[in-house]
Amino acid sequence: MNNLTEIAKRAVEDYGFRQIALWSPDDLVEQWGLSPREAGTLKGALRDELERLPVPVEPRDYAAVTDRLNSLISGCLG
Amino acid sequence: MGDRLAGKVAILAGGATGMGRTTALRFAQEGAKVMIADRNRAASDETLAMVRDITPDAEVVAVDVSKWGQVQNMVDATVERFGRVDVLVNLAAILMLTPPLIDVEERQWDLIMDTNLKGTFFCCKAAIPAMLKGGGGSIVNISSSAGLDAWTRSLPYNISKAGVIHLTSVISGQYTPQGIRVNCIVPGPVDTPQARGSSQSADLLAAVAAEHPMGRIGRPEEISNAILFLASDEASFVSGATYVVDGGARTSGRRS
Amino acid sequence: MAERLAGKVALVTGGASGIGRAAVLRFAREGAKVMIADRNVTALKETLAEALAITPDAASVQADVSKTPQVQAMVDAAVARFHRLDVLVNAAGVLVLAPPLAEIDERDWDLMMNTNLRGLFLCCKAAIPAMIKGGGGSIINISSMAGLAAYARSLPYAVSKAGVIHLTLGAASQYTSKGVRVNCIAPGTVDTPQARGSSQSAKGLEEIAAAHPMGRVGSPDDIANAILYLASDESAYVSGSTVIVDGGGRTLPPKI
Repeated sequence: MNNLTEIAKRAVEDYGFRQIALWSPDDLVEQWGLSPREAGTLKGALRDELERLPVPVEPRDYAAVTDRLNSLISGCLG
Repeated sequence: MGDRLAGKVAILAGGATGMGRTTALRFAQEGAKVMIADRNRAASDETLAMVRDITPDAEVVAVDVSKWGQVQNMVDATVERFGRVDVLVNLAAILMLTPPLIDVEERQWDLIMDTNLKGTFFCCKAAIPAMLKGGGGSIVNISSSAGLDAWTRSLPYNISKAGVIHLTSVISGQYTPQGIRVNCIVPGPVDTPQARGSSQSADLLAAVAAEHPMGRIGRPEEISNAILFLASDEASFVSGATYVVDGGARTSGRRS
Repeated sequence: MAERLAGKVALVTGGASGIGRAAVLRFAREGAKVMIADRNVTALKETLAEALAITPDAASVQADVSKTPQVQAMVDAAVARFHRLDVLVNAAGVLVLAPPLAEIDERDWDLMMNTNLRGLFLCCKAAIPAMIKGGGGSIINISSMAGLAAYARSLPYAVSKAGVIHLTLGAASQYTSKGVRVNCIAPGTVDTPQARGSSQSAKGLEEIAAAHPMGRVGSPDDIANAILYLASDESAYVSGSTVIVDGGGRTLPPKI
């Protein structure tokens, strides 16, 4: 699992963490040592998806949502 | 004039003087029907006259809260006059200065405990059934910073006021599920007849004020503000809580 | 009826949602001029629109309280817009769920400490001089029952909130004498987006409500009522206090 997929997984399962990803993404870029491309994805395509997630995501939906975000991340990072 | 207690029936035990009087006036201004319960008849009548200038819905009843029969009568008289009980404020208390522990007389201990702790217990015991009948209520017990911090001038008073804090927690645990909120206020030094009397000298009270972080001691109206909040529906999610109203005295390292 | 915050200027951090938002709207209805600060620009816009529907004297500023320059800019914006600062509500906070201590990610510890404790410190530090310039003020820090009791779901959150309680005491001991009152509210579980989100399931809050003595969790308005009391002059003699608003949750007797 790369940094960004781990961040995405946590943002799905933990609303508090999701808020940081949404509103203080630079803190995560610094803490997790994200590359410029990862940072761009976090603040761009991934952010748009995270903002649309329900609050909270029900545990039964974790896998499906995380899979969807992972495809998005792979798409962006190539 | 406001309406923060509109239509509510309140019993103020110890309602004739000091914080009791300012609370009776404030409650009346906020639309409550007020029963002034006190053993001091003359002061009760004075307070009643002041409250009646605000509302006709005020009455007095003589009570020594340490006597169960009189406490039961206080609640009965309130229900008879106003039809229900929504709020009980337990302000009745005595403070006698005592020497250190081994010289405290048993009767000093009993007098203070009987009014301050047993009296609060009696008032709750008598009022709760009437509140339950009306669907719930709010009890506000008045403790003291002497109930939180060591204060050497009266051991029985300290212990009685610590007991009031814990009584509040336990009753809340038992009756919050049935719609009765029970809370406690811990006032710091406040300018009441009681405080003036027990400070033994105006100089001492002035010294307390000079050392206080606000440069003054509290006014009884300021305690009434906190009582109003806890009595009203604004505090509908507050129960089992103890609120310190001391102007920051406990944070100053100079505890009077 | 008189407005309880007439003419006062208030700054509310975390003011866009949850408890902060409830305080903003309550303040606006009570006559205050309100600067709403939050890092969530989307929610900030929505809450500003709601506040402006009540009063023209509302404005917003985007700020992440863990960033020193943003905090100073936030206070400067409030003073520039409304010419003084009377009330600061520190409602900004983050809750990230955490495993037991030995497995806690250091980065998560930093995230919560930086916003909940360091950020709150920065806000007080920037606001107090502005308050003193205007002759005094009132600071209300939002802690949590997690700061008073063990909270297994996030130790860093609990520790940061305990720190808020102690910061309140220390700041009160230093600034009450200069006219700045500093108090703290410890809410129990409250139905906010944060609580809904971190309960991990829509059923989470329902289960907490079912086990609660009042059969419900708190509403943001319940907390806003206490914030209003502490912000207004009714609490002129209250400083250094931590006020619990948990519906008696803490007093429910243990099941043993």
